[in-house]
Amino acid sequence: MSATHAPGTPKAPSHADPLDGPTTDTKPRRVALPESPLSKLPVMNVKARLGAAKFVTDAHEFQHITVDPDICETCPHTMCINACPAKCFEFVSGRMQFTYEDCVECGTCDIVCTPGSVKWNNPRASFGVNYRYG
Amino acid sequence: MTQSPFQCIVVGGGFAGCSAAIRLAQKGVKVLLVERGDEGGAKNLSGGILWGNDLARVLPDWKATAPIERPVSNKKVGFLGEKGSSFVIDYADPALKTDTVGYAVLRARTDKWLLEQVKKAGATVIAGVNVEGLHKSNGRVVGVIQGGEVTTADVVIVADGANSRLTLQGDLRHGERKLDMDHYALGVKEVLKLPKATLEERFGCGTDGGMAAEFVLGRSDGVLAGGFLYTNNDTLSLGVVINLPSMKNQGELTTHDVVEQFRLHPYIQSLVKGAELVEYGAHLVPEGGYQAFSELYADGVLVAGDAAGFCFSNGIVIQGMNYAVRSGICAAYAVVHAIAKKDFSAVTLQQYERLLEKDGILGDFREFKSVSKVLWNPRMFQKYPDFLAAIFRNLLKAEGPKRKMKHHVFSAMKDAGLSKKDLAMDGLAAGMNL
Repeated sequence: MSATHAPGTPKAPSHADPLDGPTTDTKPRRVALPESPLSKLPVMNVKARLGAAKFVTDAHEFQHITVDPDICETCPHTMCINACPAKCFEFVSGRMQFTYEDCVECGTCDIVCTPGSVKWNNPRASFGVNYRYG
Repeated sequence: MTQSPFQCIVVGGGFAGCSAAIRLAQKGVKVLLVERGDEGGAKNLSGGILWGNDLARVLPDWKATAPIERPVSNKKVGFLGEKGSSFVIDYADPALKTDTVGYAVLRARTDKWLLEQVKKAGATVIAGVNVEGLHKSNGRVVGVIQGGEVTTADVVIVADGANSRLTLQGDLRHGERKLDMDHYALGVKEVLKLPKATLEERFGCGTDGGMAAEFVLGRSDGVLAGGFLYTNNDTLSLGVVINLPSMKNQGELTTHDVVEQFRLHPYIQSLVKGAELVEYGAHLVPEGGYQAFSELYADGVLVAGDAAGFCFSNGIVIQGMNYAVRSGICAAYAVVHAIAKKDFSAVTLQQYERLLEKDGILGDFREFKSVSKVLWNPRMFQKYPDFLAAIFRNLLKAEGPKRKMKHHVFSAMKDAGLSKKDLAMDGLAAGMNL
């Protein structure tokens, strides 16, 4: 059995005791929510909501926030997923994926990112969100 | 490096930056205001009530020309239980339509207008330019960096908002490289369109009044959040202010879900029924108060508005825009003072702090410096909404009126899991700090 494996890929059971071999606590845990009356409500999709604001998207090489997925793998809380109001952070096949195009530039991810994965800058002039109401 | 003709550069076209630039121009100072939105207000968002009349200090006729939505003539404060209960204090007063206390505003509109007023006052305005940093020479701020180029000025006023990149880049946060989660809440907001006639009938506010409502949101999952609903001319501002640390370990729950769940509470749902979403956005709320201010001044630089942390909360109101106006004006006077002395060192710019004291801003924040402990008390969100509902539910039952009130309170305490000690402690804390 190899000492490392990509998070999210299932391991073949090669030991009688699951505690044998290296520990791989790199993938942040997602705990199930306690049952709440609120969790049953029919919540609207955030991407549909974001469509209401006007965005001017900059080219990929100029994206204003960068995220280092290797650092994310060491994160004990991945609070960015919970805190980002535009759902820009998400795990895809065990890797953190960040969608800068939907960002409303609030700065929350920078505040909650304690391991230092998020690098935050304002978008270049003329790019990003343009509120019509505000 | 460009030797600019400007004595002062103001970064940020919100209420703080615009108020500072207008007062400086009125005092004959050569001032440049730089705003990163293509148009004034494009990047700006707030819950939506501008309290007070502070803008009149720089723009005496602002009420006649500003694109304000509605005056607040009805204020509601309440608790919304997670199982659908509501307990709301509803204060309506036609006197508030003429003797106004606050106006609902939409920042993309007001700030566009405000930036026009800055130009009219004689300041130079450049919009659509992102200032990347403060330029320092021998530890002193001597200008701003934009597109890798430096534009100089005697003094810079930083008013770049709650998510202030410049105070971080310019080392104006007591050595911190990141804003502190404990000092910021997240505001998430939806703007919902509702025909004007429907809105006025539903909220009973007439053509010349409006409603501002704030709620404690009952949640057993540990998320601490307040909700707000404001009436604009033909839209509603609906949103939540969420304590960020309380979003930790919340499984799949996101802040977007929190605002949606607020909108779907029966009390709110009935008020926003049929309204169509026209915008969704979010903004940080610097509600850390007195302990959370940035450095207010240093050699060649002043910090005003949300960037400095001048956002005031006492549990009944959250006020940011009026403190932005007031601190912007204080910063302008500090610059005028420094120009007269021909010295822009921190020693001279300390005048800013004296002006903030004289204006009463620092006093307000000192008075309420422990308020966030009371407001973000988890019991407020986890216990009290159900506690209040239980008292009244019991009282309304057939046997209710025959028993003394204290019986209902004790019974409701049991239902909500509140101890006598909790109640005494919270009552005392509220009495001391609110």
